[in-house]
Amino acid sequence: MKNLFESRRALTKMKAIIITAIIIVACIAAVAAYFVTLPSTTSEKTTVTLCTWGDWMLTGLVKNGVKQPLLVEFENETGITVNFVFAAEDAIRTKIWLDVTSHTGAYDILGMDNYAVAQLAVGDFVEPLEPYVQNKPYAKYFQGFNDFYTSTLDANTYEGKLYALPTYTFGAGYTYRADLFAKYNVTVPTTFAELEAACAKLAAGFAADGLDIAPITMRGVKGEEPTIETTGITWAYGASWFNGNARTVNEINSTKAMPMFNSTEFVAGYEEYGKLGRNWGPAGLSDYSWYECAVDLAEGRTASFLGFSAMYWFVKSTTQLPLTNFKIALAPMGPVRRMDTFWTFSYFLNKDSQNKDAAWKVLQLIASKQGMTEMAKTNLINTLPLKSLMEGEDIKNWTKTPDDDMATIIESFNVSSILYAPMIPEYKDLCYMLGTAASQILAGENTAQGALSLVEEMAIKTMKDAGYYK
Amino acid sequence: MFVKKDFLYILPAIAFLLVFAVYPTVFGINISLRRWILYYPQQGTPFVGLQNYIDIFLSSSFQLALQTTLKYVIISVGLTFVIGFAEAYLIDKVSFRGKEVVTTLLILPLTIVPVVVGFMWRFMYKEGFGLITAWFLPSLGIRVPTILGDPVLAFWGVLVADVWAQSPLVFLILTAGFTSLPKAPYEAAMLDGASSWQTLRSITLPLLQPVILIAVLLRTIDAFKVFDIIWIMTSGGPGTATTTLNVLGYETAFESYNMGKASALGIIVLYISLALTMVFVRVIGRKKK
Repeated sequence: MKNLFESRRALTKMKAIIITAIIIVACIAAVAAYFVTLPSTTSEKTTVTLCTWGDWMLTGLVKNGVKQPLLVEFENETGITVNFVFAAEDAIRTKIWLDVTSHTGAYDILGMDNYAVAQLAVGDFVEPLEPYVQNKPYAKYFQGFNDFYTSTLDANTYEGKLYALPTYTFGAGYTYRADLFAKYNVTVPTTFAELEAACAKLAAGFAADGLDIAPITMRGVKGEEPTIETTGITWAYGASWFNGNARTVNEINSTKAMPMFNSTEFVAGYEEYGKLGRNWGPAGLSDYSWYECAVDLAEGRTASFLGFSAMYWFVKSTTQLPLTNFKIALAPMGPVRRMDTFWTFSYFLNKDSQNKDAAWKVLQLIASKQGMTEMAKTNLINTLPLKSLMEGEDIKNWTKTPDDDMATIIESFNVSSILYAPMIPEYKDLCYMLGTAASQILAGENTAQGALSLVEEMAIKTMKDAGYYK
Repeated sequence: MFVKKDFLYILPAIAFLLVFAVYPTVFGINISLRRWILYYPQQGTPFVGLQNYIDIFLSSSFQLALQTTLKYVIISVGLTFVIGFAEAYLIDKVSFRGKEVVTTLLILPLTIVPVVVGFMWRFMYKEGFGLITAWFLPSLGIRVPTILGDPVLAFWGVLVADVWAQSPLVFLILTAGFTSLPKAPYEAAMLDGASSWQTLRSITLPLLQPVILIAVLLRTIDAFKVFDIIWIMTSGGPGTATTTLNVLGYETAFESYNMGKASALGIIVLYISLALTMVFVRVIGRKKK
């Protein structure tokens, strides 16, 4: 009996040692796997992985997980296999940042908006593209920069170096229900004062007819979303983020330009935004992302949208209402300038990519006229960065865009530029603060002055912590 | 008596804790004492001591998030306890046909993933066509233009969703407690002619105290940790109306990319949870004695 007990104890002891050893070996193996790359036993095909949100911007290459003829042809020609990692925007941003900061190089091509240019460039996470353009153009898909709208390339340039190719863009616009404007005899506004008058007239008409339609909608959800519009409105009111409209790290440091979020002009711009939203926006606007705005407009619960011009094509691609109901006008003029909301979606080359040459070839395909043509045909997208596409006749047929609306969209590109917003690594952080303030104002949680005073305080702290003003 | 060779038996547990609990915590504390901004890798991660903690405690956003979190925890725990207790009491005391089915239905919300709960309730609150805003409330004669777009109603809206999802946990714990109660005191009380209220107050509640404390402790820790439901439903908005400490931590890490401050926030939340746990454990320990 004693021997049995002792042998059981010995067995338990052995189990404990074995389990501990397994845990230690597993940990060592995990660490080793990080540092050791085994030789590939697969075929000679190169694989390029693209990580992005908005798979609807790549329907020319892959649709519902199925590779399209353009991509299949490319893969056969080049021997490059292209893999896609799609997810929601938040998830993709996290994935990309984890990848670049840990230098794992899991993703060769990164799809991000142009706001990421400064952050990715300053951190030296992505490749400047000029050397690739000069040395290794893939002429079948890349015909140089002349066909791109200059503003779209400027938006992806930091300190004189181009870091990404844009494939989708928009300026500011006012998308509206032409049928409702005609019914209530409302003139399309060209200034903010006219916009207020138009909203008031529509509201009176809807009330008289017992219609539950909001005259206007804008983005108001907490976070960075509303900031494009609010920055555009404050720009129209003559404001800028930093003193003297300093926009880059060098400019801010050399002039010691402080954040000006509490300036008279900035507050006036936010007050205008708040006035439009609270008086004439739908209930719950402080929780509206671009998606809620689009659904409301497409389903007839809102008469107009003030913000990015791409809302026009998105609504027309999803609405059940007659397409002729929707028109687009240029964004209104403020006391100083026209409202602006310029933005691009772009693709970057990861500095840690193990297949940079192959990735560069894929990048050229993505930003090619062929790729964007498919985007226009399948998704009715009519806000693209290529002049030959935008100013041709075909896009109007593919996207069912009348001549006058197409002219307006092109004009919105011509009057837009990236100058309305700074290009600094702290942009996104400050954007988030400003967007949260916008949501507070719409929700009645704070006044424009109160909310922006807090934002300015936080912004100064952020800039000082980042090493500015030393 | 603990002898040296007995150490071998607990070695696997120690190894597991070291790798998956101690190391990440130590790493987090280390990062919280440094300045680490993801898009400035060239700045490295210089040691800044307690500066991150000082900045956090002095910031208005932290103070507001702390207020919101405390308010949320107190109300959420209170409501889930009352609802969970009432359900467990009724299930224990009342006999009716279909009791097992009702019990299963009561537990159902707990089986739903919090992200799905968030989406579900967000949809129900949707202006114009949500089940609650477009049908339920109007049927009671209540017209609410928006729930998630109003700072006060958004807080309560998120709270209701959380309480709905987490009450079953309290219900389960207390149901187990009820079934383990001895029958003798109740029989004696019945013989003495005690009313239901007297029985509840003088027998049930005292006997259930340890179980109640455990349920409240678990629920408090859960409520402190809540993130997914809030993020899905409101992203901490509108404005800052539903921004709790965890939401603020997420924003600091993944919007500001300030990992030092985000780690510091995480450590603060950890210590608050630890402090609460210690208080409860002491109270439970005293009750047992």
